[in-house]
Amino acid sequence: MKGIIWLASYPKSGNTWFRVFLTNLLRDADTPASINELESTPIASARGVFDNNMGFEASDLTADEIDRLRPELYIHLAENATEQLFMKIHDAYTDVADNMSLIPHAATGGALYFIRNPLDVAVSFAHHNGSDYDTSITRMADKAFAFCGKPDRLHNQLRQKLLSWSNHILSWVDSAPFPVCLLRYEDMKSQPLETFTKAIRFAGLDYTREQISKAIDFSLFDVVQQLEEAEGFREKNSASSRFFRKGQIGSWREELNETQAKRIVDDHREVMRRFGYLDENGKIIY
Amino acid sequence: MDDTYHIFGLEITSVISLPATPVLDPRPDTDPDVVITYGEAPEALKNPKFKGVRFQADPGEFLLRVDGVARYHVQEGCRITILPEAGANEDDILVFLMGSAMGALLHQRNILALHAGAIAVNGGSIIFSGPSGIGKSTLAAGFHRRGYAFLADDVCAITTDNGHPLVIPGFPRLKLWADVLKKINADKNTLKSVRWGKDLEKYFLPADGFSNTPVPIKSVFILEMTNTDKMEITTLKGAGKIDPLLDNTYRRRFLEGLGGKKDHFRQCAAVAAHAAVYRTVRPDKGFLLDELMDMVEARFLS
Repeated sequence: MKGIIWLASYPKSGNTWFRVFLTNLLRDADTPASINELESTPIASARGVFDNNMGFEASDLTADEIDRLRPELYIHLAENATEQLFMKIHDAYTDVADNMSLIPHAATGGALYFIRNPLDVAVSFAHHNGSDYDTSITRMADKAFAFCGKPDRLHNQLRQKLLSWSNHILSWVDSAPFPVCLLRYEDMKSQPLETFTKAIRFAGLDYTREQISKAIDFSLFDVVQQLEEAEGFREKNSASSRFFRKGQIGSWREELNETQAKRIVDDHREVMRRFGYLDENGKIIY
Repeated sequence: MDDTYHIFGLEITSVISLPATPVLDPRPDTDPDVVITYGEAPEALKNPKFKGVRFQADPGEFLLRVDGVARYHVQEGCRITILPEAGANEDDILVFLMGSAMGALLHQRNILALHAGAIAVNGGSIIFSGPSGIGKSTLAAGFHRRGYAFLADDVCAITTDNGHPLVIPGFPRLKLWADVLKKINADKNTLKSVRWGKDLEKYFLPADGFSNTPVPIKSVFILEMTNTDKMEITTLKGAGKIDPLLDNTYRRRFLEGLGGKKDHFRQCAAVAAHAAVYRTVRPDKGFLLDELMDMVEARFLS
C-alpha cells in the first residue's frame, strides 16, 4: 500500500494551482489539461467519496459521527488504491477521538502543505466567498472556524474544521506525525522549477526537468485564467465571479487598509514571522 | 406480535414498527416475503466478494455496521436480522434499516432501486434522481404540496410488468432538512426528527393520501447543479439515457458484491426505453424551488 499524499492548505493558498500542475504532469500531454478534469486530486471532504465507500450516507449522520468515520475511509481508500493517491484537503490536522486523528498516519504517505502570505489570503478568500475583507479577516482569526458546519441543512461537502489561519498551519506542520513538505506560494511563483521539483520528489514521482517545466507552463496563471474564461470552472464558488482572479504576490497592498493589515499581523504575528512573512523588525515582507 | 406491512410491493413482517400503516389481513398460509427480526448478526462475512468501509457484500448476503446503532445482516432478499448495540435507540435503528439495509434487500430481489424521489401525475410516475443534496426530496415534497400523489423518497423501487417499468411505492414519508421545511412552509416542531437526540435538523414529513399501487414510469429527471445562473432541462436520447440511471442506482457499490449487474443494466435499459429522461441543471446558489418546479412541471405535463 502506498499512502495518500495530502495536498493540504488553508483556502486560497495555491492548492488548486498545484492540482492543475499535477494534473498536467501526470497527463504529460502536448496541450494544457482542462481545469475541469482535476479528478486525480479529489477533495477529502467530498460527500460522494464518503457515501460511495461507507455503505450509508453522511446525510443521516451528525458532523461528529462523520468525523469519527473519516479516518477509516482514508485507510480504506489507501488500501484499495491501485496507483499513488493524492487528496486535496482544507481540514486542519485535528483529532476526532482519543488517540485518533482525522488524517490517520496508517493511510498517509506524506503531506504537501501550501502556505501563502495571510494578507493576500484574506483578499482572495473574501473574493472567493463574496464577502468583505473584514469578514474574511475575522474568519481567519476564528479558532473554531469551519466550512459546512450548520446542522439545519445538507451542505455540498462534509464539515471541515479549519481553525484559525495560524492554527491551521501549526496543526499540520507541528502535530502531524508523518513527513510534511512545506511549499510557499511566493516560492512557487518566484522559483517555480525548484519549488515544484521539490514537491514532486517529495511525492516520490519520477519526472524529468522537461516534463516538470512543461506542466508548470501549462498551469501558469494566464493559462488557467483563459481556460476559466473559456469553459468555466466547476470548483468556483457561485458567490464569486471567477476562481482564478489575480494570483499575484502582495496585491493586498492595493486592497486592504492599514487597520485591516494591522489586524492580520496582530492575529498571526508569530506564525508569519516563523514562515518568512515578517522580518525581524516586524515589517511585512511581501 | 410483529406487524405486517406492504412496502415496495412486498409483504414485510417487522419486529420494529415501520413508518407505514400495518396490514390488517396478512396473507394466510404463506410466509411473508420479508421478515425483519432482532437476533445475531456476524461481525464479518466470510470472504465477501466486496468490502466497503462499513458494508460487506456477497451473492445473497450483505452486512452493514453502524457504530452506536446496530449491525444489519440481510440474506437472500427475504430476511433482515438486526443486532442492536447496547443503548441504541429504535429511531436510529430504523433510519439505516429503511435506507441501506432495505436497499441491499431490493438488490438481492433483483428489484431496481434508484436513488430518487417520485410522485404520480395523471397515472404516470415522475422520478427525480441524483446525488445527495441535489434536491430530490425537496422536489418530491414541493410537488406533493402542489397536490400530486407521493410515491417514494430516497429509495425508489422499480419493477417491470410485461417489460413496462413501474414505480413501486415505498415508505409513505419524506426526509427533509429544516431549511427545506421552511421553504415549503412546513412546521418542523410538529414533526419527528430522523435521528433521535442528535445534532441533526432533519425530519420525517408524512405523505398524505398514500397508495400502494405501482405506477408506470413517465419521466425521469436527472438533477445536477451548476455554479452559474443557468437553469435548464435537456432531453437525453438513446444510450445516453442509460448511464445516468446506472450512476444514480441506490447504493450502486453493493452490486459489486451482491452480483446481478447484468440484470441491473437490463432494468436501467428498460426504464430508458419506456420513459423520457431529462438532464435538469439548477444553480447551486440558493434553491429557486418554485421556478425549477414550474420548469419541471411544464415538461411532465407536456
